[in-house]
Amino acid sequence: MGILEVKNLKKSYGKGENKVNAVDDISFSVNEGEFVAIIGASGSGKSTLLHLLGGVDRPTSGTVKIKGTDIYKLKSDNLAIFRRRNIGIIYQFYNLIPILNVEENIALPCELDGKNVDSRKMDDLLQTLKLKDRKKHLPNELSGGQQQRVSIGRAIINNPAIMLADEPTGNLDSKASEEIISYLKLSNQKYNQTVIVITHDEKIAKEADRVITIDDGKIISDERNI
Amino acid sequence: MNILKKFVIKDLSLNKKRTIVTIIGIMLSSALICAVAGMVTSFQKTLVEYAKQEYGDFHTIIYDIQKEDLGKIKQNEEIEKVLEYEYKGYSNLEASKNEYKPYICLVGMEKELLNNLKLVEGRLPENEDEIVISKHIKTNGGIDLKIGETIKLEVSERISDGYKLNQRTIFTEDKEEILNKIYDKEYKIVGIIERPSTFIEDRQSPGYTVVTLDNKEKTNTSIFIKFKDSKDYKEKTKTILADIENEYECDYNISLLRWEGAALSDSTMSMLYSVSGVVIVIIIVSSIFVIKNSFSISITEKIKQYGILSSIGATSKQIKKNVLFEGFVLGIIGIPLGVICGMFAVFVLIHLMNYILAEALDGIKFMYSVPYLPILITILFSTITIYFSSIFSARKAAKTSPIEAIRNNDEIKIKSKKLKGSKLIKTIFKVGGDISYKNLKRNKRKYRTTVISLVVSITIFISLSSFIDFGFKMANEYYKNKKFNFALYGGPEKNRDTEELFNQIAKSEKINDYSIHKTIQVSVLPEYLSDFGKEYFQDSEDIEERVIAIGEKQFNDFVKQIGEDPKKYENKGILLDNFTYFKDEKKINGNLYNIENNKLTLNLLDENYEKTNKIFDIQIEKRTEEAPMGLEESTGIIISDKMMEKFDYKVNRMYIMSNDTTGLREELSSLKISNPAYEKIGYSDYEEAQRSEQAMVLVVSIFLYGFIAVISLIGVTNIFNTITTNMNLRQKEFAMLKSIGMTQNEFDRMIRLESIFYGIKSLVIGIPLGCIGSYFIYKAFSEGMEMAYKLPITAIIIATLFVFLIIGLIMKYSLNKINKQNIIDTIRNENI
Ligand SMILES: Nc1ncnc2c1ncn2[C@@H]1O[C@H](COP(=O)(O)OP(=O)(O)OP(=O)(O)O)[C@@H](O)[C@H]1O
Ligand SMILES: [Mg+2]
Repeated sequence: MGILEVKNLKKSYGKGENKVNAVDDISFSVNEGEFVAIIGASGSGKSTLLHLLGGVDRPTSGTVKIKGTDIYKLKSDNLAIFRRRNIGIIYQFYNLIPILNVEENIALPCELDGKNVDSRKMDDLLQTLKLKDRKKHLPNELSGGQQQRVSIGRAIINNPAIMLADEPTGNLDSKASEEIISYLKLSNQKYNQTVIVITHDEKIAKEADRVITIDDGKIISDERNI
Repeated sequence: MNILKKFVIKDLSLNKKRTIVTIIGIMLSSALICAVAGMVTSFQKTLVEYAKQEYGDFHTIIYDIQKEDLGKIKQNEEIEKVLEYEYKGYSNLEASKNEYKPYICLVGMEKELLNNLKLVEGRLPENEDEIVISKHIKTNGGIDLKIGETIKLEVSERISDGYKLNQRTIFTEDKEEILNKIYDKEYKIVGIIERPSTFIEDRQSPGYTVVTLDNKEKTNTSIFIKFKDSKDYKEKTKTILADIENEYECDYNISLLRWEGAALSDSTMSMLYSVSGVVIVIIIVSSIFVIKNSFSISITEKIKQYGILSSIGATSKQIKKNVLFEGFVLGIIGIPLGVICGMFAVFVLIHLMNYILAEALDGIKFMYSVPYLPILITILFSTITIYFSSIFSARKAAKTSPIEAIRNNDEIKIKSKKLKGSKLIKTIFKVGGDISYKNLKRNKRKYRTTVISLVVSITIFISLSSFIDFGFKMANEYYKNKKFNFALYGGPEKNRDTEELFNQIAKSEKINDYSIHKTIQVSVLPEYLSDFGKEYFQDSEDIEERVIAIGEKQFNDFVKQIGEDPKKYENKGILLDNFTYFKDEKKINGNLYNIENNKLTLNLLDENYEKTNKIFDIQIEKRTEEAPMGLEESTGIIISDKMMEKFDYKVNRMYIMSNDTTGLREELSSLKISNPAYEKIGYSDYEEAQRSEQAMVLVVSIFLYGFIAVISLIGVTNIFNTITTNMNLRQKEFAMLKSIGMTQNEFDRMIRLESIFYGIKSLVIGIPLGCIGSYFIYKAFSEGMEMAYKLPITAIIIATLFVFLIIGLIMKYSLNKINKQNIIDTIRNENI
C-alpha cells in the first residue's frame, strides 16, 4: 500500500457550458520514498491536482489517502493539523508571509504546532539552504531563488512524510534551479521523504523515479525512469 | 511570545496608519459613549444632590409617631437611616402680617438634622436654650427678629373642636382655635436659616418654624426615613405602617425619588434617558461600522497570509484566536484612551456649562462625578463591538479554503456580467471613468460601508444643525421686537392699590421708560366686524376685546408716533388692528373691525368675562397696526388714562425698559423686605430670561456640534480606512495601468472621478434623509411657534463641501503614497 493513494479524484469549476474539469477522475498511488514528477501542458490541471493532494483545496469528488488517512474526511481543523505534520507544500510563487523574516517563516509550521524549533536544526537547515546570513531579512528583500529556498525550508522543517512542489524552479535560472532540485533530492534521499514535483523542466523530470503526464485533467501516461 | 501573536503585533505596527486610525475610531466611539453616559449620570447626580439639598436626603417622612412605635419602625431592615425631629408646639405671633401664619412653631431636631439646615446668618443652636429662626418670619411675616435677641415662647398645643392640630392643618378664621400652653421658656436667637423644606413647614402651614437642638428622646417624633434602596419606596413605607397599630400621616420626597429613578413617572427623566439611549444607539451603530469595517479590511488584506498559514497547517481556531488577539490589542489601547477622553470631555463640559449657565441656573452647580457606571458600560459596549466585529471577520478568514484565500479570490471574484460598465459613464469620463466605475462595483461591499458612513454623518449633520438653528431662532424670535425688558404684575386684586405700588417702583433710577397698563374687558358688537373679521368669527357673538390705557406719557408718545395730535385723542380711542391667524396651514392677515362709522359699540364684561349689558360707544378715528410698548396682541382699543378713569379698570401689568434689570430685581426684593405689601408683586426679567435661553441654546449647540464632530470623525476614520486600504489592494492594478502607459494626469483624474462617485452617491442619499430629519425637528419645534419650514440650505452646502473635501484629502493621501512607489516594486510585492 502506498503512502499516497488517489482514487477517482475530480475537481470541476463553474457550471453548465462554462464547466471546466480541471482534475478529471484521476487515480494513482505513490510509494514511500518515491520522487515523482508531474508534467503537462499549461492549464492541464497540475496545480489543481497538487492542491488537492496537499489538502488545501476541496475536491468535487474522490478520495485522497495519505498514510492511510482519508484527508477529506477530516474536519477542517484536524486537516490543518494533519497538514502541518505530514505535508510540506512549496508553491510556484513562494507564498511567504511578507511581514515575517526568513527564520520566522521557516519556523511557522513548527510554531503552529506549539513546538519550539530546535535551534541546531534551524541552523543546520539555514546552512544547507545557504540562508544563514539572510535569516533576519524579510521576503521582499530576497531574490526569487532565495525566497524559494525559504519556502523549501518551511516545507521540510517538520520532516513531513510528503513534499509537494508546484513548479519550484519555474521562475529561476538554471543554476538556481539545480540548487533547488538538489535540496529536494537531498530531503528525498536523506530523510526518505516522498516528493511530488510539478515541473516543465526536462532535467527534473529525468531525475525523478517516475513521471506522470497529465492532459486535460487526466493522466495520459505514468512511467518509471530506470 | 507565540509566533501568531508576534505576527499580529508585527502586522499592526507595519500598518501603522491603519492601526492608528482604527484605534482612533475605537477611541472616539468609546469616548462618545462614555461622554453621553457620563453626562447623563452627572446630570442625574446633580439633580439628586440638588434634591437632597433642597428637600433633604430621605425618601419617606412619617409624622408625629408615638414613642413605642418608633422602636418598631427602626427595626425595619430596609431602612438605612432614620432622623428624628419633633414639633414641640406653637406660640402666638401677634404682629405677623400674614393672616394665615399667626404662630411660631418650635421644632426640636437632633444634631444631624440641624446640620442640614441652610444657615443664612449666625450659627446653629448648640443647646436647648438656643434657636435659629427662619428667614421668612421677616420677609413674609414682617417681623424683624435679630440675632442675639431672646424671645419668650409660650409653647402650646393648637386645639380646635377638641382635636390637636398640627403644621399640616391650615389656619382659617372660620374655625376657632385655642392654644393650650405646655410650658414657656426663653430662647436666644443665634442664627437665621432659609425657609425649611415643605416637609417641615408647608406653604400653608400656620406657624413660622424656629428650630432648637433636641437630642433627647422625644415623645412625639416625626422621622425622615432613608431606605437602603429607594426602589419600591411606596411598598416599603406601607409595610412599615402596616406593622404598627396606630395610623400616621406620611409623605414622600418625590423630587429625590424621581431623580434617583425610583419614581419614574416623571417625563423629564424618562426623556433624558430615551434621548441618551437613542444617541448611544447611533454611536454604537456607527462604532460597529468603523470597527467592523477596519477589521474586515485588515482581514481582507491578510486573507492571503491567513491562507498561507492555513495551508501550512494553522487551524481555524488558531486563526480565529489570532484575529481576536488583534481585536484585543486594539481594544486594550483604544478603550482606555477613549474612556479617559470621554471622562475628560464630561469634566470640561460640566465646567463649561457651569460657566455659561451660571446665571440661568440660579445657583445650581452641575457636579462632575467619576462615572463608574458609564465607564463600565463603555468598556462593555466597546468590547462587545470589537468582539463581534473581529469574530465576524475571523469566521470569514477561517471559512475560506486555503488555496482560495491565497488567491484572494473572494474579494476579486466577480461575475463578468456584473462588471459591465455604463456606456454613459464611458463616454463622459473615458476609460479612466470606466475603470473607476467598475471598481466601485467590484468593491461594492466596501464601497457601501464608505457610503453608509458618509450618509450617517451627512444625515446627522443636516438634521442636528437645523435643530440648533431652530433653537436659536426660537430663543431670539420671542424677544426680538420687545420694547421692554422687564415686566411687573400685580396680585390677584389688580386694583388701584397695585397701581400705587407700581407708581412707587416707577421712581427707580434703573427704569428708563415704563408703561402701566390699565384694562377693561369688553365685547364688540358683531355688526362692527369687517368681512375678514366675519370670516374668522363666523357666527360668534363673543368678540372679546380689551380697552387699554397705557399711561399718559406713553399715550402721548404713541399718538405722536402714528402721526396724530394727542389733544385730539383725549376722548377718543385708537384701534390697534392687525390680526393674523392660520387657515389650512396658511397665514392670513387682515383687519378685524369695520370703523366706517368712526366708532365701536362695546358691551362691558365682568370679571368672569360675562356680558354686563352695559353698552357704550368709543369714538375711533384712527386705525393702526403698530403696537405700543408691552402690547403683543394684534388687536386692542387704546385710550388715554383720562378716559379710563370713567371705568372700573384693572391694573394688569407694568412694562419696563430698564438699564439694569439685575439691579432692579435687587431693588424689588429690598422693597419687599421693607414693606410686605410688595410681596404680591411678581416680575419677569425678560433680559435675564433671554440671556438664559441663549445660554441654554449655546450649551445645547456645544453638545450637538461636539456630537456631530465626533460622529463625523468616526465616519472619517471609517472612510479613511476603506479608501486607503482599497487603494493599497489595487496598487498592483495601478502599477500595471501605469506600466502600460497611463499618464500621471490620467491616473489622477481616474482617482478623482472615483471620489466624485463616492461623494455623489452618499449625498444623494444623505441630503434627503437629513432634510426629512430636519423636517421632523421642525415639526417638533413648530408646535409652539409660528415658523415656516426652511430647507437647511447652509447645512446642505457645508455637508456637500465637507464630503468632497474629506474624500478628496483621503484620496490624495493614498495617491501620494502610491505615486511614491516604484512600479516594479509594487508588482513584485504582490505575487501569488
Ligand atoms: N479558481 C478557478 N476557477 C475556475 N477555473 C479554474 C480555477 N482554477 C483553475 N481553473 C481552471 O482549471 C484548469 C486547470 O488549472 P491549473 O491551475 O491546475 O493548470 P496548470 O496545469 O497548473 O497550468 P500551469 O502549468 O499554467 O500552471 C484551467 O483550465 C483553469 O482555467
Ligand atoms: Mg500551475
